[in-house]
This record gives sequence, structure tokens and C-alpha cells, in this order.
Amino acid sequence: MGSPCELKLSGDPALCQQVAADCQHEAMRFETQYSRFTTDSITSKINAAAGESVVPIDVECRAILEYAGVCWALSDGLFDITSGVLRRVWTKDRTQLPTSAELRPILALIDWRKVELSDAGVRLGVRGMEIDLGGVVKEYAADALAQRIRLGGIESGVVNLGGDIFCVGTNPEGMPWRIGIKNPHGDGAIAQVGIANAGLATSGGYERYIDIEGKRFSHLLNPATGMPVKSLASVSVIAEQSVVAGSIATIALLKGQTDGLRWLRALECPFLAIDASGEFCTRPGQAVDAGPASGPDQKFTRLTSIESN
Amino acid sequence: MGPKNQLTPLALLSAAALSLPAFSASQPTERVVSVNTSVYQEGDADAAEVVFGDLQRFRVKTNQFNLSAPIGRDWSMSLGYDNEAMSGASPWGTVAASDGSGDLIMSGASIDDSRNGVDVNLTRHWRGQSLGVSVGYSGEHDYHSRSLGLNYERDFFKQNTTLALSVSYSSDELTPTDAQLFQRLEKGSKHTRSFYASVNQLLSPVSMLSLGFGITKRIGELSDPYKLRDVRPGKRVERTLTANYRRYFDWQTSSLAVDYRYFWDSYSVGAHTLAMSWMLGDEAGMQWGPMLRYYSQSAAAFYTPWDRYDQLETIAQSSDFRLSTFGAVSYGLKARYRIGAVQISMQYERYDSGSGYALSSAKTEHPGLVDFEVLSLGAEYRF
Repeated sequence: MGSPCELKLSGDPALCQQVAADCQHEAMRFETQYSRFTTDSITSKINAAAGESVVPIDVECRAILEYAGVCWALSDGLFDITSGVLRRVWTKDRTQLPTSAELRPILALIDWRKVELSDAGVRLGVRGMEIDLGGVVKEYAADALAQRIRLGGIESGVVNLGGDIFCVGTNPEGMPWRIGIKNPHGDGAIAQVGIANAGLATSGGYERYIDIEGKRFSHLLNPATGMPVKSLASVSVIAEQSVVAGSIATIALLKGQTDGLRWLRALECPFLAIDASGEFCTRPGQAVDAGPASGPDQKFTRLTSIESN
Repeated sequence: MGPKNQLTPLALLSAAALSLPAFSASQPTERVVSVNTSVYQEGDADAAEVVFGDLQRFRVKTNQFNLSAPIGRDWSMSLGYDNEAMSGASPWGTVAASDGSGDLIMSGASIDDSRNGVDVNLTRHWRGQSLGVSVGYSGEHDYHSRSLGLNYERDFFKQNTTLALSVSYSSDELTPTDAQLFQRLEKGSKHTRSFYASVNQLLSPVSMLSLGFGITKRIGELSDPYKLRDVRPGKRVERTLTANYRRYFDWQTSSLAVDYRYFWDSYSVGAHTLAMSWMLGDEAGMQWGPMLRYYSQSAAAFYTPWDRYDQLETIAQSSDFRLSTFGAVSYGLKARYRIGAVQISMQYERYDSGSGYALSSAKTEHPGLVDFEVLSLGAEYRF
């Protein structure tokens, strides 16, 4: 999954072992099936056939693509799984901002509407187009593993796939699982939240960035302009499914600071946004308390510097 | 944000996420225990139209228990038990009245019976399809029924379409009480075979249409042994067409259900049912709403308003009000309240029937047509 993954299970040890092995197997399946780095993944096959043939896909892949289409529509085109081609311009070793002449041919390859879904499968309309399902699959995998845990008969556990989290049941003490929120401007956790039977996704511009001429640019790029977004530093969202939490958080980042906050406040799910200056923002009336965290479910609590270490 | 009456992005994302295979709803992921108790009370018979017997008609108290649970990853089971206690009088027959209609002969209030039923279902789930087998037994002192069923479900087109097929067979045994005293049939049997197919189509993230067709074939002792003169053909083939529509609205998080059913059989009974219900409120809290149902049927070919003793016993006839031309209107209220894992529900329904409600005109109204009320209370626990 390209990031550290963690699985916590509580219950009968033999059953936990069995379910953990099953989850590991399932996580590997997601990796091999959707990674754009392996040539025999479905993502690579679809990308390799861009502008040419229709690639047959299974029910799961189709549902993931359709889900990505809903995200595209709800984000006014900002969440676009075809925008990964911008990596060709925004390489790690860049020392200057890309010119419009450099961006133009790449931007012509970005458009979700050119992903042709039909009963026969999927075809990318333009040669050179690429899709990257990473922004959906990682969160969806957290949900899918959580489902395996429950169906395996385990009632308490946490799936953490590089920050995309699903909490199954409560912790063994019967309390919501306490999950730390990473400090986007430093090390360690800056806040925490109690979660039971819900998904939590955190996205931030802090994870990956590009330094150009002493200025730090977010890896989050606007698919229409090809330029980095001045986004919130970090957004954490709680929803019934990790995949939904993840899409809401990503769209909030892509919308930029003001519109991102507006988007989050208009939705019904709990969130914590941290802006560029380190300010905490949340839903009006849901102030983030400071101090020890023993508060109710789904409430973000600011950690003091001692606790965060 | 768009106008208020549009779905929120969260609702749209959640709906799209639910079509991802891991969230396939076909497989239960939690154990559910539910109990339900209800009282069904028929209105008294009209004294002016009863020549003999008790006026107090049926009262049925029902208690139900249901448990469903997943077993491992691929299996699920459900277990149901119900008990009914019946008391009151029922029509024995009809005689011609002076005004050209029929008058009722009622049973005494001696009917006091109880019925117990159990059914067990075991289902195997695969990705996108499931196959279940169920067995059931229902018994009262003069009636025993054993049944066996198979049901299959399969999702198509990214789970937007579900096909459901079911077949069932039941074998019933009748041993009417006081058979010798009243010269009733002493022992009889009945075999029922049914097939039902339905297609459920998601029209949009917020609306759903389901169409179904069913056929049931009954063979054996189909006459009512407790009636004074009831001779029905020993074979009855029934067909039904159903259409169910569901639509969810953002406004008050409400939902609308519209159900239509057309029934026709080899006795020449034809019936239409149209039902509508509206639920308001959040599933996670309080939900309530009204329901309304209309029913109309045309009489069986051999229906007679009063019993014909001048007719040979080999010729079909029945004065059962359920085979007459009539219509009915029911209305009621439903309410559900969820607190965490527990849901409490309550439902009240009132049913009024009469020949005037029927779409086709009836020559005479059957004096035995019932009006009834049902009140039910239920509780459900998920864990």
C-alpha cells in the first residue's frame, strides 16, 4: 500500500491469528490488483490499453471506478483519478515551476469523462491517459478488511492502512478506540479522537511535497490547472465507511482552504481541519477541547505537547 | 450546497460506497433478535343478519420470535417461532334472507384454539449470490403443515439488479374436530407448490423498483370442513403479479413505499391491492408515518350468497365471504424508535370491508364481511 499498515485484533488468539492472516492476504490482493507499479495489475492493464482497447473488469473494479465518478461529480472535477499524469511534470528533482507549455500536453490527458465505462469493460479515451485508483482503493481496503474481521467473528479491532482507519467495535475495555491525529507541522500526534464502528481518514499536504526555489509546494494538484493547491494542512473525517471519509477529506484539501472548510461544514460528519497556520477548525459548536482525552465518541481532543510525545 | 430538496454529498457518497462489493447487503453481518406481539380483533357480527350463533367474532393474539445470525463468513441462519391464540365465532354458513340477501349462521363461541409454528433457514453466501434452504412446521390440534423451501438470489449489473427465485412445497393434514358429530370430513390432506420470481432494480441512488410473478398450485381438500355446505374444486391455481416502488427523500429524511399486486386464480377470483406508506424521520432515531391500503376482488365462479341445499354435493359452491365480491380500505400508523442497538416498533391498522368498495358491482353484500383492527408491538436487538 506504499505506507505502513497496522492491524489490531482482540479476541480468541487462534481466531485472531487466522483472521489476521486472512486480512494480510486480502490486503496483498488489493495491492497486486490495483497497484500502478506492477505490470499485471488491472490498473496497469487499463493504462497500457489507453486510446486503444476496452479492458474487461470485474464487479469490484467497476464499482470502484463508478465511485470515483461520483467523487468527480461532487468535487466539480477536482477529484479526478486521471490526474496522476501530472507526476510526469512535477518530478521530485524539479528546481523550477513548470511552464504552461510543459503542462498543456499533460492537461489534455486529464478528464474523467474520457474514461469510457461500458458493459464490456473500461477504455481510456486518449493514448497516454492513466488512471490511479490509489486514492479510493486504500480507504476501501480498510473497509473491506474491517468487514473480513467482523465476518470472521471478531468484534474488536482496528485496521490502519497508512492513515486510513476503520475501527471495528470498541476496544477490549468497551470504550471507543483512541486514534491519534498526526501533527501536520511536526512529529507525533496533535489530537486524538475516540471511534467505535466507524472509519477515519486523514489527508494532508504534509505527506508528500516538492521544494522549488525554497518554497514548499503541496503534492495536491488541481487537475484543471496542473498547479499545486493552497490547501488546508490536514483534514481528518469520520464517516460510516473509511472510503467515504477519505473522499470527503481529499476533496476538502483539493478545494483549497476556504472552500474546503465550507465543504466540510456543509456535510454531516465530524471532522478536524488544521490550516496552514496550525489553527484547528471544526464544525461550529464542536469546539476541540484541550486536555486529557476521555471524551465521548467521535469528538476530537487537542493533545498537550507532553501527551503527544 | 444545492437546494434543500437535493441529496447531500454525504448521502450520495454513502450510496455509491454501498455498491462496493465489501458492503454487499445480501449477507447479514450482525445477529438480530426480534420479538413481536399483536392483537387482531374482528368487529362483532350484526345481530340483524345472524339467524343463529354467537355474534362475537375472531380475536387472535400472536407472539413471534425471530433470530438471525451469520455463521462464519459464508453462511447465515435464521430461526423463527410464532404462537397464535384464537377465540371467537366464525361463519358456518348462510341462508337466504327475506330481503334477497343472505343471513349468517355463526358457530358458537366455542372455538378456542392455538397454533404454533417454527421455521429454520440456512443460507450459503457467495460474492453476489446466495442459496438458502428452509424447513417449517406449523401445528394446531386439527391442522398440521410441513413445508420445505429453496430460495436463490443473485446480483447483476454492479449490484443494481437483484434476481430472486424461490420454490416451496407444503403438505398439510386436516383432522377436523367433532367430525362424526357434525358429519364433517374426518381426515383430509392438501399439497401446495409455489414458485416466485422477482427482479429488483435500483433506479437511482434513492429509488428502487421490484417486479415479481408468482404461481401457486393447491391440490387436495380445499373446502372448509367447518362450513355447513362448502364444496370447492380440489385444484386451485393462483397467479400473482407484484410491483413495489421505494423512493427516499432528503426532505425530513422520508421514504415512500407504493406496492401493487394483482391476483387471479382458477376459481375466477381476481383481486387488486394497492398500498402506500410514508415514513418520516431518521432511521437512527424516531420514524413514523401513515399507511393506506385498498383492496378489491371479484367473486369466485361458484360463489353463492346463501348455501344451496338443492344442489348436488358434487357441484362446487361456497358462501365463504372471502370468495365474494368485496373491497376493503385499511389505514393505520407505524412508528419506530431506535436507541443504539435496540429498536421499538408499534403499528395500528384498521380494516373496513364492504361490497361498495369493490371495483365490480356485487348483487348482494355478504353479511359475513369483516372489519378488524390490529395493534402490534415489537422490539429488535442487534448485536
